[in-house]
Amino acid sequence: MWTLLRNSILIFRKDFRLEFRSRFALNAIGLFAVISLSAISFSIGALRVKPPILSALLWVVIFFSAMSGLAHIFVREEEQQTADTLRLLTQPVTVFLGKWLFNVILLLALEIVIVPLFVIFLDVSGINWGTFIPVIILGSVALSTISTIIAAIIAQTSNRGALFAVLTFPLAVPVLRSAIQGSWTALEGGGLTACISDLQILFSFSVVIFTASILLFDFIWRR
Amino acid sequence: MALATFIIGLLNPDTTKALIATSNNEVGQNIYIVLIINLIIWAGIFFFLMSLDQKVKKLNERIQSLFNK
Amino acid sequence: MRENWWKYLLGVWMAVIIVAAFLFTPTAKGLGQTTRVLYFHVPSAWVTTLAFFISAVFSVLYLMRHQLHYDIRAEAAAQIGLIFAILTTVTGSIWAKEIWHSYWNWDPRETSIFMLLLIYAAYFALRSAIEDPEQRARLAAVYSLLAFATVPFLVFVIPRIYDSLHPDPLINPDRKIHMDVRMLRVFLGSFGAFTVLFYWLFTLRVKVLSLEQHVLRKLEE
Repeated sequence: MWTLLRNSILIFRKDFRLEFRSRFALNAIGLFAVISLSAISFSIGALRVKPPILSALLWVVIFFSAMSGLAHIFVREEEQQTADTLRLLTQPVTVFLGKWLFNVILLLALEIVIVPLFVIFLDVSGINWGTFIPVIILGSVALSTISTIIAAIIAQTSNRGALFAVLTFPLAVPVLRSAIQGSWTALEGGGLTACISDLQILFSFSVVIFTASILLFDFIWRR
Repeated sequence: MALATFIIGLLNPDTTKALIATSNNEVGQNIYIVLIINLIIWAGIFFFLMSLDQKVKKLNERIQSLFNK
Repeated sequence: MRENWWKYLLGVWMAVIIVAAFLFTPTAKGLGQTTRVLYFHVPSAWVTTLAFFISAVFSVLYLMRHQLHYDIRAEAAAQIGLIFAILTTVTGSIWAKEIWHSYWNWDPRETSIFMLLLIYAAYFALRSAIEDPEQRARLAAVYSLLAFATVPFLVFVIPRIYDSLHPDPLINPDRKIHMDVRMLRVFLGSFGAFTVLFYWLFTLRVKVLSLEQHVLRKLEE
């Protein structure tokens, strides 16, 4: 058990170092998020937008940023042909855990960029941060969990880029729906109790998909 | 139409009375037309499926004999 | 002829259902003549979900035993499921125009059938992107099971967000069947007919797909 966790941390650190050595991919993902956010802000202009639309727009930006970035971690292993080495060296579960951790942290890091810019660009006021932050965090964990396992699938196909969003969206709909609902409540200043059921859905979705991923990852990874 | 009324009558005499009553107004007339169209569509699908069934079966036999030579 | 008896029975049975749906059953309050859509639209929706479930079952079997004929069955079920999902969506939409005065308004039922359509579409998009049959079977099975794991959330999340106007003859808060006995008889009969029709289409599709696979394998040798 402990060696398993330690190996996953090792894989995570390997990926972390690799990504920071060639900062190209990380920069591209960050810029993509900023650009899609400014595209929305730019097209809205000086209009005052109501919370329901604001929270939907925020999650559209987060979803597409995730779609631009989260597949890279598996696709890179296949493109640089390091995947087979990993297959030989470690158990599948540790690979999944490492990559999952990386994706969760990557998406949260993206949000540290997106959310303040979102608040500034779209002139948001009256947020209840105590509600908003848990919704964002749980939403991102759920979104990156489902993205990670789909990324593992599409890394082994041709035509990777287009497939990722197509495969993820239908499965991510419950996440997006509850996250939009939750951050809507937060943007209107509602407390944690007002969106507890959204948080419950996000949490149980993450747990179910995480368990299913661990069970199914063997079949994707082994050839 | 009379035949259909008769068959339904076997199932439920009350409906037959209602049917004879409604068959004189416009809704009653139209529903028979829709019904017949539906039956024709089903007959078409059914016989198409039957022929497809036979074709697949024959194809299967031919391929088996072809490769088993 | 002898082994085909159930096909002829289905032919007659479906014809009886059609006649009964138009002539034998009364109309429901507020729905008028459009009530009769019930006997064709709801069984199509049932076949869609049944096909989805069967596809998932054969996906599990494939992952456990790694035999391609399970993958063929999973694919065949999904193909028929896709067709019936389209039929359900179209018939429901036409009916909605008559009763709700709009073809599409994101009612929970509309949303959930749309999600099933998207999942099926994604499943076939994934299948078409992989050349190797073994790999295609493996990844498609995993995707199908992941989709299966998210469906309960869809069922739970969507109705909470929008209010449904969809008539609920069977599934409703007080868990009773609010339906005329004659309607119920034809309704259940139609369920049976559609299920047998699904089985027929399914076996036919499986035969064609396995023939294709057989021929391709022999040609490669």
